[in-house]
Amino acid sequence: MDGSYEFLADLRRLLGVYRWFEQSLYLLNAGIIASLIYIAALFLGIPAFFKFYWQDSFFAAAPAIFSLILGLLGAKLLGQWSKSDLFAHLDESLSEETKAAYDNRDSDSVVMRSLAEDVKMRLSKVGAIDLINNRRLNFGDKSVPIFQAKAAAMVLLLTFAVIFSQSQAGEEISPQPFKSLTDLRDRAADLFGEEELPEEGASGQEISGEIYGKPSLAVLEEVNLELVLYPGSAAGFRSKETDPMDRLFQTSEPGVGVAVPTDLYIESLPPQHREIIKRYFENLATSF
Amino acid sequence: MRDDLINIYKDAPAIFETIREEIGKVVVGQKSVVEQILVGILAGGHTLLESNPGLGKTLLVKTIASTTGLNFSRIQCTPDLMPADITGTTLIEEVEGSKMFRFEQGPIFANIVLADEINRASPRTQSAMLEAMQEKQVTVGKNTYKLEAPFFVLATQNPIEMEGTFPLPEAQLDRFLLKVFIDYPSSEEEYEIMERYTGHAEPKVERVITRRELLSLQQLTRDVPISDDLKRAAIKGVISTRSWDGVEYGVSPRASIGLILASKARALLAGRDYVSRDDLEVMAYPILRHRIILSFDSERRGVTTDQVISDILKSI
Repeated sequence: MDGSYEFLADLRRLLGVYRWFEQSLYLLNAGIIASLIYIAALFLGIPAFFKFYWQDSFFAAAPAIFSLILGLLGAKLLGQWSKSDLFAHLDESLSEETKAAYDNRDSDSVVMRSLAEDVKMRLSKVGAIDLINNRRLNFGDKSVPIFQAKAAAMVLLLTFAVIFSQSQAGEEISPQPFKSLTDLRDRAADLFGEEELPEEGASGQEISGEIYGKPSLAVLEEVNLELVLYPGSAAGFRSKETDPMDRLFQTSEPGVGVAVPTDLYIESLPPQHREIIKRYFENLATSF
Repeated sequence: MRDDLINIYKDAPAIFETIREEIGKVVVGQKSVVEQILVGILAGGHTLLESNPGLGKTLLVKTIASTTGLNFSRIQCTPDLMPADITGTTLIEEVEGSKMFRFEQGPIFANIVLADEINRASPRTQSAMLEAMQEKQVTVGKNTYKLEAPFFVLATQNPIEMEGTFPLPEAQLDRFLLKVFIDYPSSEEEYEIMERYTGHAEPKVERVITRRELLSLQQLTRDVPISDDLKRAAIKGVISTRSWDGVEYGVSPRASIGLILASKARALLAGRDYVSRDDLEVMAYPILRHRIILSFDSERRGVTTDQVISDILKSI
């Protein structure tokens, strides 16, 4: 801003306030967009998925970080779409008057001097809070300042996101039909009904936490994988008298527990899921 | 000079108010028409007034001229009016026994010229007058005579569909800064007109502004600041007319200049020291309406230039 009119000093002061206001609005917009994206992700169970697979790693926070990045990008786009300037934050007549004065700041005439004095007088009465309160959201007859409305919206959304994520961790992620390993083991004992299975912890190894999904079927990336637990496979499993079954890779006598290699089964799985299915069985087997 | 301007600028609102009051003594109502004619005078442009007969066009112009200390002349246009009847003619004069040529100035040599019923004059005469309007000078033979500033032509015309008229060509219409429509008065205004003009007392107006003051006000008009946004909006509107649906020919750059000048004049008349968007929108009608040529199809559908201007204003 050049020129020698005094109103330019007031304009500079308001420009500082305006820049602060615009940056704050940018951050508020980013916060609101990020919160909305994160809440949507919570509904889809994405944060829980990341927590489950990458519990102790940086990836567990990936949904939150990704939401924040999208929020910042969205706020940037929104800022470009609804581009405004300082004049838009002044009331209509003052805005027109100031714009005319600013655009003609290099001219010197009787009318321009009169305008400059008038603008200086009016701008000196405009405070930071007036500038912030001038942009409003209208709801019928009522209106609220955009800044306050956005700040309130962001606080509400963040609060909702925190509460929702906590409730999801406690209830949604561990639904009732899913059983803990202990329950599974008890059910297995009932089925076999021959001997009491060792008490939990007696084996010296215990799986903490939960295993999700039905033990007979795993659905990974929309691929249904049958979880086959062959008789006699893995350590500690109890064999049961069964009818003879023909297998491509082995035969066994009824009533005789034989350790069966599961390599062929594991190899029949899609390569990207082999490791997790294998781990599942190992965990299941060692917990008995 | 600068002090004079400052003083006149300070007095401008009072001067305009007094002019309005004086005109109001004679002319009942028609406030927007009076305002637009004053805009034309401040902007230094010519004004074309159009209305049905008997609505006081001539009275209005005469009254406005009376409020200023300017030379005023009236030309009653008829089909047999010749160019020399307007511009003047060279006479042979005998002075001290020798014969000399002397130029006898026509009625165009005045500050305010009322060209009454201009569309009744022949195209040749119209052309002579409109040349003087544009160049602000008159050429007779080999001599060119400058017209004294300020120079305004306030022309009146009856609607062109009336018999015995020669419609002004589009190019000549462009030389008028404003085209103002005068509408019928309301019933209250008509009652007031009847009261005022059926008694013995004849309303008289006083001169309230001098030629020097008027020239200063014209200078101040050009100094009224306007924002770049409004200048761009004016240009956008003017350019839009050239490709607008239903418009055969859009307006010339003369319209952009006229629109800005007229908006500045309106701001000054309103006592404002900057041009507002409202000034631009209000002045767009009288500035553009006679310059837009509608297509045959638009005219067939009854579209008016004012409707086109409204649509253009909504788009800018």
